[in-house]
Amino acid sequence: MSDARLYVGRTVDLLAYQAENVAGEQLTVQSLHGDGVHSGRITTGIQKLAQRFTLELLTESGSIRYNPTRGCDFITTLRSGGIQSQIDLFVAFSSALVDIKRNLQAEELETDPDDEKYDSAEIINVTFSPGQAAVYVKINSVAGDSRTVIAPINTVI
Amino acid sequence: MAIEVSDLNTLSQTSVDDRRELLAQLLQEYESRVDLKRGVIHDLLLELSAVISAAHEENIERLRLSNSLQGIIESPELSDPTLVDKVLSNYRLTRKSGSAASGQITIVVNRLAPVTIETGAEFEANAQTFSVSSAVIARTSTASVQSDSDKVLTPLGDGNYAFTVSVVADQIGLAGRVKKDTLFVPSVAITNFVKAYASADFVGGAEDETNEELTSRLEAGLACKALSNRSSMTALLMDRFPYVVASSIIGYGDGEMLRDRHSIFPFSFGGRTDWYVRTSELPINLGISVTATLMSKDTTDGSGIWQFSLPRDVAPGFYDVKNIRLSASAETAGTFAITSQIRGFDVTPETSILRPDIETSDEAAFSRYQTSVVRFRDPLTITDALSVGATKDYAVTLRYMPGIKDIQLAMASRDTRYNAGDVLVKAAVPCFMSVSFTIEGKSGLVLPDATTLKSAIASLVNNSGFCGKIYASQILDVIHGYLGKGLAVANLDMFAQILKPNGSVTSLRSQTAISVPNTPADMVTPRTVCFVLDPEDIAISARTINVP
Amino acid sequence: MEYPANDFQNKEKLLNVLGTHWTNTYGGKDFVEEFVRSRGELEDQNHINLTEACDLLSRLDAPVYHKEKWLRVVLKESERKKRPIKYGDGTVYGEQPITGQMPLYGGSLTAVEYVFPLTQPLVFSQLAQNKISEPSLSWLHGIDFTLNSDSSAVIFKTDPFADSNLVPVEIFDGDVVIDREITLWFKNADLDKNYLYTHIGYAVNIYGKSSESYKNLLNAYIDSLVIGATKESLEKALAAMLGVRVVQNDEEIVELIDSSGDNLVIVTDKEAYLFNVNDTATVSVGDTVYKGQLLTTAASVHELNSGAVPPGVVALNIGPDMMAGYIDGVMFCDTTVSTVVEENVDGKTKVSFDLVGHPSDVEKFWDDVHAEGIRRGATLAELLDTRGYPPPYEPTAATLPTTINPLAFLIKNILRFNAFVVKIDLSMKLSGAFGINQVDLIRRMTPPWTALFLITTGTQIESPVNLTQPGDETEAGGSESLSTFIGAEPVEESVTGSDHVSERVRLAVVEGFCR
Repeated sequence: MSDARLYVGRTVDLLAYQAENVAGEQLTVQSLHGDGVHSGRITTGIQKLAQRFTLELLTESGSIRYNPTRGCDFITTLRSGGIQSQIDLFVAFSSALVDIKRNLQAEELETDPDDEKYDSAEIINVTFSPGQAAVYVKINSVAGDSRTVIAPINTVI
Repeated sequence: MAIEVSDLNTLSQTSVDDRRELLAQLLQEYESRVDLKRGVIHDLLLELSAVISAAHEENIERLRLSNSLQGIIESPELSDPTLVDKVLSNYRLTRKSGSAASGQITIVVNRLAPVTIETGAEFEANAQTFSVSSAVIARTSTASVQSDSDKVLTPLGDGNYAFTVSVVADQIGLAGRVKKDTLFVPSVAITNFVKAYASADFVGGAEDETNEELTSRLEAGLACKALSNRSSMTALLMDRFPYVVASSIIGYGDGEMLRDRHSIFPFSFGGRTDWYVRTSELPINLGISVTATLMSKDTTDGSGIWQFSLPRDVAPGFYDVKNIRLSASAETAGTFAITSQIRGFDVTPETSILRPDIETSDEAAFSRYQTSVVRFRDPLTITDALSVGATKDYAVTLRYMPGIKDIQLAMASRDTRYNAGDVLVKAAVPCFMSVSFTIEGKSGLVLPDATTLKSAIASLVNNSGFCGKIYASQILDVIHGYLGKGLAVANLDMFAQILKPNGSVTSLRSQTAISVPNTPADMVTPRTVCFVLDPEDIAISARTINVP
Repeated sequence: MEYPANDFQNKEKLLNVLGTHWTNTYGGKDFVEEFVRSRGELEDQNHINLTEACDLLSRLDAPVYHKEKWLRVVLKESERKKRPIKYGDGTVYGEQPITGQMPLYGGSLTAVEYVFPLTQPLVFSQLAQNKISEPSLSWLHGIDFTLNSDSSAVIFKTDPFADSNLVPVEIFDGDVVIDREITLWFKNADLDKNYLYTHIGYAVNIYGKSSESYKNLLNAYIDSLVIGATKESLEKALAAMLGVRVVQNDEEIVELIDSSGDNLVIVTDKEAYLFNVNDTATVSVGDTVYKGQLLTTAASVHELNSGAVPPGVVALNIGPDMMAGYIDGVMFCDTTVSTVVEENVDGKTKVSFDLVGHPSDVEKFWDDVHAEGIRRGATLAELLDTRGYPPPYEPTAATLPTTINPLAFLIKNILRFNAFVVKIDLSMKLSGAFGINQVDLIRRMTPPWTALFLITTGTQIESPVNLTQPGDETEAGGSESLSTFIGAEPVEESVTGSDHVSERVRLAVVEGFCR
């Protein structure tokens, strides 16, 4: 459970990827209204950074008509069938990281909390199974390992 | 309709950015807890709001531009003729539709026998087709005439007979303006046919008015149509005589105004207006029949000096006598030599028309009050058996601007003029130009169509108004529009002759620019002179050369 | 203007359209409210744009500038220029009084202003802020910054990048910071989108820089088109050229005339009119003034039909355009001169008087007058004969006036029929005046059978020299002491032979025509 006091002094965003817990591996629900239990949740801190990263990673470059530099080519490469192997995946991801880093850092301010500032990301594991691939990505904030994980809270903004 | 709701994919990036940033700034200030970096709020609220708001802005901007004439004409999205027409209706302007040229054809036959020409019968000239507008039956005598549409065959004195039919060009546009004496070829057989030719220059014939031409009349559309100031006077002229090409108003304080100096003091008193008008891109060649009187005989060769008068209402304000031939002559080129032309003026009063204050023939030159006495030498008519005072008919071609009399009478009539409104309408002082140049290029390259190119150059010059100067670069600019890759222009030469109101001629020649001299005492200045260039006076030669 | 001026500025009203849930019930309505308010701001700008588009349908209501409630201006550090010191900045020779800086040869003084280019055609904004609602920094136009619309630049008194209230955003190229940006918000910004030319001036082919004066001139000109030549439209055009206004209402009563401030102010019961502080009112308190009337001596129109010399007109020149064959024409002055009588010139008495001009012009003028008088059967001497016309016998000096006022003669006998005089004092122009560079417009506005004599006056810059005392280092005088300066030895170069010497003469004709 998270403490609402941890949100003080921080900016928040709506949570687009709903999860039961903030720690551990679990499948998120891609819904703004969640599953009926975790509806209308807001997020901040490292999870907000993770959400920003996810949005950048999953947005195809040029697809936001008036923000054409946002996003990266990762999904485009994936959809075009350009990823046939683990190496292809690493190459595409590494290439995407350049764009993601540029975009995330460009919108960050010096005054932002360190755990909301993007530093780097890396693939820690990739698993292939018929019809799907799972990519495990580690996102590092400027805060490094010293961060407080602030869980989403059910609240209104 | 050119105004459409904006496509969300074609908005201005700057506009969306500005809207997004403004909204972000406001939200951030009003609610500092919200993160407006990439995220749900940013993407779903901020971005979408910015795009929709920018779309509204774009639509409003289009609405605004649709009311700006410059915006309409210069914006590719809005330069739709329908929209332009709608906006210009606010200026009381209507686009002039194109019209077909029309005129009369003289048909010559070699027997005195009836000839029938059906309505719609076609003739061809200058690669244009002309159709007879109403059926004509040429009868052998007046006694045999049965209806108003019947014509009587006129003997030409050489065993041939002639009659005329009216024809209209099948296509609208300038190409239908054939010149006097241009030969026509009938598409159907005509009994006893010898030849057919244009009786006079064809008139009318105009393209649909372009946006540029239409906007050049904006001021005239707005202005009241009255003899008030130069703008409203021009509007009046264009309203009553829409075929007018250009005009220039000379008044008090202008050096060219001589008619307000009729006192013991050598300077102007005002109260007079000279209105120089160009009513046609090219002067019209008008064929008339005159009866000349033998004035003297040359015993050495038997030729005679003949004289005829041109009263004020024959080709009012005419420029010059282009040719004089025997009435029965089948020639379409050449002329008897004019030995003298004395201009005069005739201000015989007319009911309700203010007689302008004219004291000299120079002041009356090119106005409907101009008269002229012409003497010429006829070497073909042997005068041995004739007495001085004998008469003979001749065919004369005059060059003139049409409508000068009509405009004069309109402006001097009591329902138009103000009291003491002394306005004298004159044909623009002509500066007849000729142009020659060479198109050079590698062997095998396709040369532009000469007729089209000449027409474009002539159009440039003849629509230049009272500009005072024609640059070679303007003509070159037109030529280059017609040249393909590998072709170039060389040796452009311009020659011009100004026919002054006093009858004398000033010649000008240049490879760079023809400038009208500023001699107000002669009434020759850039404000009174128009350049005239007949496509026939453009000589184009071609030369094969290895153009780099 | 009343606030809120429309529903887009009224967040309660905007919320109301969303229903009671969002306005009353929903606990987190703060954010909803602020979002709605922000969204309303965007649409309020569109409302302004739409209003402008509608106003532009009328030449009378057309706005001069486009208004942006909040204009975002991004300043790039890389584009910052330090304006060099210019005359009038207060810099003195030697040590600077405030900074104590001592300029060194070859060095430069600290710039006093920081210039940034503008991408938008920003003409005016009273306020520049770092935030919109609760700014921690507000800069005032004229004090903290100025706008130069001619060079599209904003000029700050201090360096915006040195102000802690403005947080620069770093611009990256990869990992490298290549520039920094600052965002400022200009309130109620006037942007010059050439509204007047593109919507009105284009139609009548009159170009001008956007200003109230340009608008007034266009309206005066179009009035003369639509109504015809009127005195009122001409006077409005003259006023626009000087940047002043004519009387706006049918009738107004002057209540105050005051020149104690920066301007001469004439206040009526309906309007207030600004003029140059050195201008002179032609009306008095209590006077009734009428629509279109000019209120000061800066511009005046004098009709000559009474034959009297207008006040302040000391001479008129009749130039070559009104007299063919003359070099410069002749000038008629408002002075009394003696008449010169010559008897039996070509059989008639010839009279003349002093005129100003090239001697050959003056001589030709009197010769022409006399010759034309003989030709037309009435010489000037006969017409001037004190016994009336026709005189019983040839005039003599005894029967002719001994003196004459040339200007009065000219106006009374010639110009009174179709001419009028316009006087414009260009030194009385207000800022933003259209000027007289398109004075030929007046030609298009007036009937061609009338002539306008335009008399322009300006400020005379005086630099008196007292010749009764010797000059010194700073003032010129009747005598000056000279000192010598030893110059460098000139380099000698001889050219021999005529082949190397040539002379080239180039004639240039400079002329123009009013149409």
